[in-house]
Amino acid sequence: MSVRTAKADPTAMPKGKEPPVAGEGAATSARRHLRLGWWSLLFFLSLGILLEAFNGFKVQWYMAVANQTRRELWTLSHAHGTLLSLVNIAFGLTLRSGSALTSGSRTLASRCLLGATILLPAGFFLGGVVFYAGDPGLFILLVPIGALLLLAAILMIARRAN
Amino acid sequence: MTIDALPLQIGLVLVAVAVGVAPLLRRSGKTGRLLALGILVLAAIGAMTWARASNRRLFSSQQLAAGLPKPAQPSQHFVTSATCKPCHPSQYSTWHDSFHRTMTQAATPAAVLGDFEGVHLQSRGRDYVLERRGDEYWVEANDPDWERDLIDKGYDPGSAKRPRRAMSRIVMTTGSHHMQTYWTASKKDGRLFNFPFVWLREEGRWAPREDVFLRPADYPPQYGTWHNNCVECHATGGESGLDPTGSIYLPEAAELGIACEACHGPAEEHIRLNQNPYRRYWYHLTKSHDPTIVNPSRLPAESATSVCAQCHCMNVFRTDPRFRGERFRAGGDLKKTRMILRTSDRNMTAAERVDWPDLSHHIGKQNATFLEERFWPDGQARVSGREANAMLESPCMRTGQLTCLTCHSMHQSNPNDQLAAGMERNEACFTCHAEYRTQVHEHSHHAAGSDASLCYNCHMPHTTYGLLKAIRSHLISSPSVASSVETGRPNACNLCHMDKTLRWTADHLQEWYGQPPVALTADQETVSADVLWVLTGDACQRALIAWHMGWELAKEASGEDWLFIYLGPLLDDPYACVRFIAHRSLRRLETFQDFQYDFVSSAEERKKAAARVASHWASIRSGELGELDRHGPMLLVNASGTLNEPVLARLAQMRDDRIVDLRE
Repeated sequence: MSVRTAKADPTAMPKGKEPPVAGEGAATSARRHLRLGWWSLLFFLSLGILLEAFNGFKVQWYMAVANQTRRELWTLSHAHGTLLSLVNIAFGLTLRSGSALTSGSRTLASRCLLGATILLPAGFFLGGVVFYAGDPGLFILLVPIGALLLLAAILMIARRAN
Repeated sequence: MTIDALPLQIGLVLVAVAVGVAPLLRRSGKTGRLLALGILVLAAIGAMTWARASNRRLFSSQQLAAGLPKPAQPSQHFVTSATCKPCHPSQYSTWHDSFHRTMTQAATPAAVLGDFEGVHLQSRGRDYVLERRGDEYWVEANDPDWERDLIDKGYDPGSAKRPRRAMSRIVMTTGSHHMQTYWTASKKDGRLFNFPFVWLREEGRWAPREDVFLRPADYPPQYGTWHNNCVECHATGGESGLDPTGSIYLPEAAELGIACEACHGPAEEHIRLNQNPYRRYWYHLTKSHDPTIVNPSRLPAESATSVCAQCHCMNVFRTDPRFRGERFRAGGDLKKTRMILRTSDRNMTAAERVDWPDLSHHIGKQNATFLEERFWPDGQARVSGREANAMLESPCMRTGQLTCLTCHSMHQSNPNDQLAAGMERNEACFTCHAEYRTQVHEHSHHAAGSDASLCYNCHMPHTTYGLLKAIRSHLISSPSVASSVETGRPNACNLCHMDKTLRWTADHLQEWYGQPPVALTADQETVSADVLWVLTGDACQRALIAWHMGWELAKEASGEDWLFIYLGPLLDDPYACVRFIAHRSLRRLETFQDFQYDFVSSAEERKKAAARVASHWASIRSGELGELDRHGPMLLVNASGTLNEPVLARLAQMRDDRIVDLRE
């Protein structure tokens, strides 16, 4: 159900009494992104703590100069994962507050954002598992795909931002 | 940042501060205006102070850079190690830890090991005052430009009554492992002059350059210059930069020290092509070799050895290397630009023999002791830095696939000797001689697993001299008494079993390995080989034996109570290096750990030091220290410490006082 049909619903609360109703589909999407955002934030913050532990205990397969590429990639994975978690939360809140996104755009933006949330940190992380001196492993190819999806999602959201 | 940008920066800072305090001026009264003015004044003072300090640092670093060799010309295609680092962090890191990197460095606090805090030095009638000014190192000495001009005109600067003094900044260092030497820049051109003292790292002291090389004490002072000789091997892509007229040097170096491109070749094309990620991943995934860069471990044996041999080898340049011309680069043919020095053509291949007429002609043109200064009479290398010359004579290299990289690694090794992981013991030899893996005891006649059973202790003994110590021979050979008798080169058995005679060794080698009997003199039959070498040998032999008297493995095999008998007199040896090594070995004996002595002190002081060691006899003879752990006729001393004085005196008279001048 789109935002527009929700406005036509006679059972809807008068305008101004509560936040714009996002509709059933939007509410589901919002819930999904909020849930994903908070859980992935938990996951990537935990990953950050794990990486700090590796740092603290000077774990060689993470800290050795020979593993500098892995260290950089996993740090990037942690950073991108955390930021994307926040983006998901922001998107969820945006939907809940009544975005002007059409049903199609919202679904597409949601899927793009979901894809980016998986591909970007996964690409960095897996690219650091097996790598070639200063070059990441082939999984790094996930990163540009994820970046394009993120770009597309943000563009769609930005265009319809209230 | 350049000096020109400084006023602009100060102006921008002040404008920014003014903008920041502007609201204070508009919305406050007198207090606010005063506060704003105060902030502005403080900001101006801070900016000026910072600018002055920055200017000083800038001038200092520009002055330093002006004295260093200039960067290599673009046509040489070098890119420097900083460019290699992002893609090869592990290799960069292991190289960075190596002494190859620190072979030559700009004279910054991170590089300089020596003490420059108001030190006064004197040697051979010359005075030096060392001074540290912040991050700069200075020396007041005879003006090196003036000295060099006199030498060029055929005068001896040492004979000048009123030498011209000058304050010179130390711009560059060479060495970092055992000793470090320093360079000052010419004020007239690109020449670099050697500061004639070296810093001995382990001892933490200065020593005159003339006294840390095995050469007679009365030889004239050396006036070393970087551009003439050192530049080839102590920097990457070094060029003397002698102009076509042969009068002006403008030395260049792609990078100071031995960096990536010394062994992997100039990397400009490699860097350019590998900016393409598809290309990089093609080589990653197919595990094929990128032809735009040299990997010495993938080269054929001869080419791989050439990478190291370009420096660890004595060779003759086909054209004068001081002028620009074709240079050896890793992966290339070393023989194209140089003739590798050999003492004879007996082990040469047909291809190598082509060079022999030219090479023997070159040797013939040198001074009569040219070969003696570098090799033992049978062609084994006598001085360090000639490892490849020695290997070329080794059967393992001539008939096998041995290369330097069989045992050494630049990246997976301890920086001290750069032995590859796992090659510290017998594994290096077992890779080819697998049949001995289970027969170590049977073959070596020493307990398997013990240090005495290590292949290299018998087949690569420390018979090469260099850097104030004995270094392993890189000519892989078997111990031979006949060879010791013929050449004077100590054999591996007697370098460990220092209390044994040559007869003892000859009998064992005959019994164990079927070596033919050897005719020996009466002294060789009855007196320890090491005692004979230390009493009757030349300066090189004395230095080698003095070093072995401080070698733990030899002391385990031979006892150590008696060693001071022979180390003591060496404290007054005519050669400074022998004295230095003897003192170091003496201090490794428990009784003499704190023995104070200066190897470059006056003859009188040295005699006193030797007498102080001799006075230790009193303690032995009084029975205070018990019996010596080794004694007997072969050591010319009995259990209670009574010396066989007549024989000792007779042998001491036989000391080989030939001039020894080893060219490291």
